[in-house]
Amino acid sequence: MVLRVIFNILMLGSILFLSWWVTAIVAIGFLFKFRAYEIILWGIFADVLYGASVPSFYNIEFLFTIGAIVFFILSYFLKKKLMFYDI
Amino acid sequence: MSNYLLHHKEKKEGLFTKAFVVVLLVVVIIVVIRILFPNTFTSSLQSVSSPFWKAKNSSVEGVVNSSQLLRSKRSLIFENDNLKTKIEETEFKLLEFNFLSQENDSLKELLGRKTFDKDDAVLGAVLARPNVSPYDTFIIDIGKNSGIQKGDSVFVQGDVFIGKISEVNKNTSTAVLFSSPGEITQVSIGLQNISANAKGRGGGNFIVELPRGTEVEKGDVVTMPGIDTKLFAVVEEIEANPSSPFTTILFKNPVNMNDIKWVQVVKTP
Repeated sequence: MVLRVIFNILMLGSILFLSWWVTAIVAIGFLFKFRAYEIILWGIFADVLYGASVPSFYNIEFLFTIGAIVFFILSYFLKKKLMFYDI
Repeated sequence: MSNYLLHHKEKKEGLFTKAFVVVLLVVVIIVVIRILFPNTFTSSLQSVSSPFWKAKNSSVEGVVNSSQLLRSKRSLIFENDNLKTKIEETEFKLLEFNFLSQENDSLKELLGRKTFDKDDAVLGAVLARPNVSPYDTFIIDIGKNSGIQKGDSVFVQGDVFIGKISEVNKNTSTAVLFSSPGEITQVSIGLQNISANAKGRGGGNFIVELPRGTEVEKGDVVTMPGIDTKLFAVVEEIEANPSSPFTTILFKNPVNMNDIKWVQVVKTP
């Protein structure tokens, strides 16, 4: 439980102060350890905070959210295949 | 015993599914609200985050300044002398520049062409820099309370045009850089004013393709077309592939986007 809270604080700190790829690494670490659905909430938080239409991505301003959902779904199915995780 | 573990696992699974559904619902609601009413929640979130950004910026500055104390006296004296020499050279060039700039403004006035007045610029502190998000945006600490509007121009060091205001909140604004990935900006390259469409690559970097043989050199100045010549970028690299009919020109803003502390926002007339 404490570790989960620490991860959430790290997510908040990386979104506010560090580069977006650091946030991605923390999110992946969070997903490895837990079934971290919170990263989707952090994704929408980052998009509301920084979001702008990006021409490269069809003017979608929810890149963090979409990325978080994709990472979460991938990790969910990957963990099912691995014996290491009891899902 | 084994039934208890199975029951516990099923209960956990049930809780997880409920939590996941709630999270997805919240996300969908927020996305729909944002599509229907853009800028919703941004103002409050940026206002809440603003003190944290300011605290981080001042503490980083404090640490960087303290680290200078560890440098040797000799290296400081050497750097001091170099900087004094550069200042003297720059002051002389600045005199010449100021004279030419005033002459330019006078000629434009004489011909009845109004130039934009940099004295109308509002100074804003940068709260969050482009490297924090993949959107290549700045968040600055001025908003509607300072008369900022969507579409206002954003300058750095007075002359370098870097972007436009895309979102305005009460006390903060978001500026999208011209170098935002995929953003297309019309520019003029070099003394011959070769017209081109520059494509942003993020972080103050741009790419443009011109027909092979176009006379462009490293160090050529890139400007935005118009009566007010605004410095845009400097040519950094030219890639010419003999098998391609095009030459790839890479240029970037003359200032480091990650080092910018202040920007000037000029109101659109």
